[in-house]
Amino acid sequence: MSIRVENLYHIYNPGTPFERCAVHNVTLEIQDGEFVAIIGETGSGKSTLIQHFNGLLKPTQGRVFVDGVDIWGKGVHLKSIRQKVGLVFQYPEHQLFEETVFKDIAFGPRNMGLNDDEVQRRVKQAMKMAGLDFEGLCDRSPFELSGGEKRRVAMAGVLAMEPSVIVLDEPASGLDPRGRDEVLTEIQELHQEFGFTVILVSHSMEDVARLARRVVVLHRARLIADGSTRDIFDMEDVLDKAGLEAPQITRLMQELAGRNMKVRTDILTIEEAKHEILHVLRGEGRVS
Amino acid sequence: MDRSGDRIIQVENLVYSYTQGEDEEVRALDGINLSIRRGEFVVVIGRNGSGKSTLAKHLNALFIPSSGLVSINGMDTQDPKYLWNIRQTVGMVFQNPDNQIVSTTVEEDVAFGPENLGIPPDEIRRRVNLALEWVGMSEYLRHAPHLLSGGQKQRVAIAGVLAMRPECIVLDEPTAMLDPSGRREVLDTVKRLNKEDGITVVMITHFMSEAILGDRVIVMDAGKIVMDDVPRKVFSQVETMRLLHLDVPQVTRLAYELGKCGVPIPDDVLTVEEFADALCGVFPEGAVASCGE
Repeated sequence: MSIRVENLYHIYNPGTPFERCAVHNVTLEIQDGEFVAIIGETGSGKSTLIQHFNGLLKPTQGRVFVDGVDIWGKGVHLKSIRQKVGLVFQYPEHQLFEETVFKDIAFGPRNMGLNDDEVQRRVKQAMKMAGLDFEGLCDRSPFELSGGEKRRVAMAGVLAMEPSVIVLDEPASGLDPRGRDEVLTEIQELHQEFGFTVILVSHSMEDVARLARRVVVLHRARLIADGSTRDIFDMEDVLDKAGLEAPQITRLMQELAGRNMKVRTDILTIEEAKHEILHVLRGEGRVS
Repeated sequence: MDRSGDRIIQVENLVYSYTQGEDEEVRALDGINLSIRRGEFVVVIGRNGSGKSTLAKHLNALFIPSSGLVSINGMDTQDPKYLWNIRQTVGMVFQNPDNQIVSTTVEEDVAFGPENLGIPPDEIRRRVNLALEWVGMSEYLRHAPHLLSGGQKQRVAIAGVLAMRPECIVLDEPTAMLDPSGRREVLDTVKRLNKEDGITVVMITHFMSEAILGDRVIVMDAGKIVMDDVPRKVFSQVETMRLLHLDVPQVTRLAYELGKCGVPIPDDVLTVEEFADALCGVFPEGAVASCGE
């Protein structure tokens, strides 16, 4: 399912002294099956932008298309758009409220008026997608789970609506390294195994480098760069302007290149860096 | 009060337990021994649930030990007569800046603590101005805190603590909710307070890039201290850290991986510069050669 925004503007509190333009003339198309990260400082407009993807916010000006349909056009049911484009907010575990994991995940599907069998099927499937053991967890209270598990229960609640696009706002923030890893691996599988279109908002450049194929950079409400992850993290000037920094491993390769070592600088992961350095050293016959 | 020696925090055999459900006893802290010297910058890391925040809350008597001792400048936290003195000596900064801001202007917010101490207005004004200067927020004196950025809000929260004139500040994941530049603002502020003003810092974090800023890193697991050393020694133990569910900086991990492939880079490099220097040191000729110039 594709998402397209055209000349999108969003102005908060228009006509008051608090008027603020949070999104300024953004045009962006995300194709079916892509994994896109949106990065930028706090206040750059990321959260405002993503809330337009499923019609939670209405553009002040400009248009939003989901699967080619103008979602603010006549006769369009926003409910069906919100079911197709699932939004996982920051700290989604704060929204858990039911007595059991099952009931919490079933909340959305039940509200859709689905029958018990279908609800059960969806909860099972969503838990599987989120990497949660159905038998072991479905009757537990969501509040006694670990941080990483709670977050995945909250994600499962969105997955149970069977969206095709999943938008995640800082899905790993506040988790310890292991919890982070669990959640990120799950997101990667949602994309690779289950074919979701994934849109990720994150402040962790390491996570973005590891997961996303394409990166969109926002700065002061404007889109200032849009390209492959490799290209974007190799653009020091753009990242600088946006108040961001490439992952440490990318900066290391840039530093080595700056010291005349003939290494590629568009490196995103530790594994890639290892191969590149070994490749160069072996080329020199310095390491067997 | 014992002000002799340079230990500001002394923790002995600290146990903190609570009951869960019927009568299952959970030991959140299980025999902690720790002593922190005046002026130290100590970082505490550990997986979620390892006891970091519980320990932090013992340092200004928000929590009282089930058994064992916590003493601040020689004052036992279990003795109610020291409570306010302890809270003034050790200030706490929490993760979410929005939960720590109480007033409608930055000035009033920072003045909140000293006002409650019954300090005369002139002195309050002096402290507020100085505290905001320390965190680089003087020009925001009359601004509404809720309109500030995350990094700015967190610096206001730190100023509020500083206005109490603490000797030590304890920060529980102060940058977890901030973007990279907000994170930098807060860390620069904390580092400066430690280095220039000699304030003792205890900082909990999940970011290993922040943990290397400390003079000393304490690693917690299952309510115990499992490592306590300089960052270099702690992070060079890549495998142990992995078993503890913790990360090491990317360059440290890379040095470790290359080491396994026969490239002899010291496994205790922590920064980009250190790695580059080390690699150039190991291979001083050829393609790598010109790198030392």
